[in-house]
Amino acid sequence: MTPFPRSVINSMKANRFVLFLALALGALFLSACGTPVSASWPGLAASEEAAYLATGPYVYAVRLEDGEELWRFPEKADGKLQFYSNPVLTNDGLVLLGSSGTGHNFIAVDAETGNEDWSFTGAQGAWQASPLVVDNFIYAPNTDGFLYVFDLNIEGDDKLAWSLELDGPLWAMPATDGQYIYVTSLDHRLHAVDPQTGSVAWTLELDGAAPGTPAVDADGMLFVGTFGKSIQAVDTSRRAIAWSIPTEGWVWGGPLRVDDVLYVGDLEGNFYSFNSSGKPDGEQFQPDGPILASPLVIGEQVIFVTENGTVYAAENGTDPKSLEKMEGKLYTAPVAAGDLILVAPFQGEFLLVALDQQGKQAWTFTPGN
Amino acid sequence: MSPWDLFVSLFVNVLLWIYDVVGQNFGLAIILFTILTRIVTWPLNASQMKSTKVMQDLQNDKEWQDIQKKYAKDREKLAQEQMRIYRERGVNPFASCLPTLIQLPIIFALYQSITRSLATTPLSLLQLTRSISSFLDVSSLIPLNSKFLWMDLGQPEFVPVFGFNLPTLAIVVALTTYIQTKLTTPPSSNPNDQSAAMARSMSLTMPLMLGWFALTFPSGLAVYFVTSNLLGIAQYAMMGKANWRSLLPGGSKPVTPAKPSKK
Repeated sequence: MTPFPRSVINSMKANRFVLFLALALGALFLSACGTPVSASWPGLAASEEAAYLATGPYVYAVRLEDGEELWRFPEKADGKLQFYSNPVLTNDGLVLLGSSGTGHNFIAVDAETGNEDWSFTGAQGAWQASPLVVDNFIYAPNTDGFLYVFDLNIEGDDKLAWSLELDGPLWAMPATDGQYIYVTSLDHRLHAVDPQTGSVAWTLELDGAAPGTPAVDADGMLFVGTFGKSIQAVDTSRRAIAWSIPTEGWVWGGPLRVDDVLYVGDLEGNFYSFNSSGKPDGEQFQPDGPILASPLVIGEQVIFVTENGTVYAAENGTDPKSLEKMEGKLYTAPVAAGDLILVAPFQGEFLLVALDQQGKQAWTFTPGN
Repeated sequence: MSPWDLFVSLFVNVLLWIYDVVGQNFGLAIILFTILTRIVTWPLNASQMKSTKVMQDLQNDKEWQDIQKKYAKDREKLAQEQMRIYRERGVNPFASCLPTLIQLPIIFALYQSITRSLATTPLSLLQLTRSISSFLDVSSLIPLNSKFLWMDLGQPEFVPVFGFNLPTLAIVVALTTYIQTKLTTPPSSNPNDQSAAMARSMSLTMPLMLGWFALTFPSGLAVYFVTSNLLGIAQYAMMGKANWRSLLPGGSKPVTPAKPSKK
């Protein structure tokens, strides 16, 4: 006995090819949309007491001592808010958060309580870039091509002091040498913004999109990695490219400058060290995967992470060694918190992992309900 | 990379190649790419439209209606009789859904290729960099110029009108979807015609659903919907099957039932 009339079964046999094709296509659909993909990888920052992790609808404050959740913002998820850029702390105890969701909110919350202090909703694009805080001013680039500047001295909720259109999607946290605010854009340009006049002092064409924060030294040299497969050094006094070193892959994260050495990784899985003249400082190292995040210096060690989930440490010019390999992909730049190294795996078992400088796991964080 | 990723990557490369050729205009690239996919799937669309019409005509056939009444309480016998009529008339009941099944992955991949190309988040930008073949100078293509006419194709579209954000493109999407659905739905004289009832339901739900997508997703997708709808209407009109009267109020009068065929 079957629940179907025989004629229907015969018909199905006759159309076996059609059914097989339908099933194959159904399987293809399931493979395409079965697993929801997070919109991007987490953002991470730390103070002396807490780590701040921006991931999807929430930003979590996590106690450094034991990895316990202190607060989350917002308390209930808002479908319009998505947080992925690195949170930034101000001197007066605020945590700055930018939403990359359909709600383009720039929010300042109290670092102690997680309560909203003020917010700005006037941008037209997402906040992919973290803001730069200089004294009481906040320089916040947006994907709508504007640099928004907030003055914390302004009373009330509306703290926008001025904004400046720079064109091109702005994805990188700005850098400063004390005179100018340097903003890179995905449209292959570096802008030097004069904070006194609120205007562009000069602009320089780069050889590719620059999604990472530039490194600036005291001698007026600025270093930036690009999708043009290079590290470019800009002499800010001459407002010109001083040198350009080719890399094997695209450079996503900003370079790290420690003493006279520049450290940077590329998407082809190479870790480079250069001196300030652009000459290699030691051998080029190949870790186990592509490098997107900027390196970190903690103590005597330079820490960098790979997409394959490995944390490496380089010390005194020796070849980097693997400290720890974890589940998930490491796209977020590691952060130093006291003696701890914080890493935020993407699609891993834990949202946040604290390691000591020998790579031993101190604690992990997974949010409760 | 999964087979599906490879499939979407193929679309991304073609889309970006068109974008490069037409002077880095992503809106124009979406329109041309939609036209290209419509041309490639033209025989499938034509076959589907033809089969739908044949099935619709069958619903109005007197012999078909008679067996529905005669064997209303005997499902097995009814199915046997239906299969007999299918055989005699040379109708394949699956013929109208097969082209749709084949087209669905194309539509889905097109949607994913548009959103992946726009790369509005770091993760999607990373995926994009890994989707592009070496024949494209991707370094010069990024960032994609997402401005088209008054729109940012990476954002949902609104036009400020008297202080109110009017979703004009979403309205156009809903309107063209409605027109396409109405034009491609032949009227039925059979009050018990289930496919006609389904078509009536689709003519309302599809415009609302696609309009909602256009309202909430990047407007690049809405440009695809509008282009695809207009091309669908044009194709149906070129095949001489568009039922323009159905757009008018009260224009959905039933057609005369087809004569029963000789045995």
